[in-house]
Amino acid sequence: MKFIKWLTNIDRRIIFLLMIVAVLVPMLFTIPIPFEVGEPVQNAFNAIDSLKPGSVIMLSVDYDATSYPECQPMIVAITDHAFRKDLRIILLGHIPTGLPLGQEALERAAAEYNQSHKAEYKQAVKRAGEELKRHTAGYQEALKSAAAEFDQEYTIRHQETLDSLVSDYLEKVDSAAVKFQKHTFEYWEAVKYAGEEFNRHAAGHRKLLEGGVREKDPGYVRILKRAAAEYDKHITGYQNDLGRAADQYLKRYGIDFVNLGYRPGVVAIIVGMGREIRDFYHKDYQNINVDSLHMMDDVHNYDDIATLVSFAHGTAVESWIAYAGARFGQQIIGGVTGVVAPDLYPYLQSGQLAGLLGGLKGASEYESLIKKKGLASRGMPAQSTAHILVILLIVIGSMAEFALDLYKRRGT
Amino acid sequence: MNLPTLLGIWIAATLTIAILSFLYRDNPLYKFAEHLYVGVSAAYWVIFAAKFTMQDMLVSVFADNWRQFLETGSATAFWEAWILVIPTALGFLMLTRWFGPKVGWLSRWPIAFTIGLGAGLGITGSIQGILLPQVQATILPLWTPDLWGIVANILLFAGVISSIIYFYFSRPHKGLLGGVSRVGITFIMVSFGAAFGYTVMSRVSLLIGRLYFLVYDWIVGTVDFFKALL
Repeated sequence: MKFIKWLTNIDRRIIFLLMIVAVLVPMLFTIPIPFEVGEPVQNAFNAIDSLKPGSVIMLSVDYDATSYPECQPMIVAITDHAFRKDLRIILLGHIPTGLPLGQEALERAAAEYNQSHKAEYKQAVKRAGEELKRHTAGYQEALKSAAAEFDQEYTIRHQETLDSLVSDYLEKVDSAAVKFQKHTFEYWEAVKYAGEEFNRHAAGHRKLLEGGVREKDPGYVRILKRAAAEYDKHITGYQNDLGRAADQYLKRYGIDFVNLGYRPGVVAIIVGMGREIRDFYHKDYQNINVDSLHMMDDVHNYDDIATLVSFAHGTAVESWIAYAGARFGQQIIGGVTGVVAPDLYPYLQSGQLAGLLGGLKGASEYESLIKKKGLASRGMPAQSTAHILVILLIVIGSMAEFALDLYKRRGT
Repeated sequence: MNLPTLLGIWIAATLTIAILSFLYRDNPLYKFAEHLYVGVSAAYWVIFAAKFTMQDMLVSVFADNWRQFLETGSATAFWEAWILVIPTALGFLMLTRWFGPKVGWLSRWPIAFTIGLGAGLGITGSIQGILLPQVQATILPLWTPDLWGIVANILLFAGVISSIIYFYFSRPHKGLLGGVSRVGITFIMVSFGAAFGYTVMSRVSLLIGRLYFLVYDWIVGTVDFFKALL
């Protein structure tokens, strides 16, 4: 009887200890526990998977560090999926302390994507460089033979200066790549600047040469002009090849994703963005003018956003549904903590939510759909053993209470 | 991993253990971590409010528009700069509460503005975005070719009607009304059960997150760091 009494009133510290053991054991010794993907998560996956490459999705970070274990795996999985599908991402949020978490997820997903495509990117850049060198050599050969016919002195000067200009340009591109390892917006700004600098110097140099030879031989000037035009074409081609390679193999800030940051006034902002995003977010989180971010060129309001995903630990998803969904017909997906999830099921049934990721389970289901084991999948076995422990404790406690009650009745 | 990251992980791990120590009993270590958290959060919010509200939505918008007005003479830029005087004034009026009832009544103006705006947006949003779509989604055919569809629709219908009747307090819950409201409370209890289950899952997830951090980021991470040094 003493034992049964003890069972009805176990010291909470023992329960805490049991819970820590129940979580730690499957974490240290991998225990595979199978699970199926539910319809709400499958629908969320389908909604993102069916978008055309280049479509824009908006991710709203409406949680902070207190919900990190549940919401962070969701945003990581969805950004990863979005990058694989070549979707563009706008990040914003209504909880300032949560935004750095969203930025971290985006940067990590972009870095992983860039890392996994590093070899292809390098190959493409090398190919473009070789192509440029081949054409440059051909151009120099043509100039040499023209010089033999017309004016040796000017050709040598021309060749030497252009050679130095090309190597200077390539050096600047290389040093920008070293300086901005992540192939970010800054890297492309540096490449663009180097290109503009090159074109400016080359044009000035050509002008100088043409001025020098014009009086001597118009035939040579014609050849020089034709060759210079050809040369410009190849430099532009090289720059285009670099851009194409980056578009294909890299995810860059300002081009593939942006972070608009935090603005106060949840509802007013949600409603106002239906008219123009720039009315509230004219600068991004780094104080860069939104109009200068290439990705935002054709993005103005909800008409330009294919899907919105709100990662929340509060009522933010309901605000998005009530204002962006109902007024502007915005497709919405919720990625929420377990506590919030039951409140959102009515919106799934009414079709106001296109999909729902609820708690760690929802995140792990999404990870299994994109076939990438992340934080949630690694935590799920521990979640299952902890639930088994809770069920056992409830059953044992109830049985002990029942037995105690029976004993008391018989005793009286 | 570099040294500053490792240092950050050690600070986070120490604070996590300090907070978890409350599971045993209240202690000074826990109190220290709790106070630190409150202080850091408050400071973080202040910085964000200053940066994203005062700086980005007031000072820089005014400066940009004023500069544009001086450069181009644009009337729109002029008004877009000076219209900001109104919200700024309303913001300052909110502070009059500090100076006693003589001028404190002025703070009612910005409060009235905020309540009016909030109510306007809230009422339309609740009706257009929540109430009407939810009512619409409840009006379902009780006969469909799919058997489970019929069961689901009848359950939904019965659940909604009986739960609403449970919250009807103008007559005593006796007879038919009492029976239906008892069905309603059953549905409500089931929903509480589901919510409780999800809450347990949520809390366990938080524990998993912290223990995962302690095991892999802190212990394994530190071992790996020193292994790399050697």
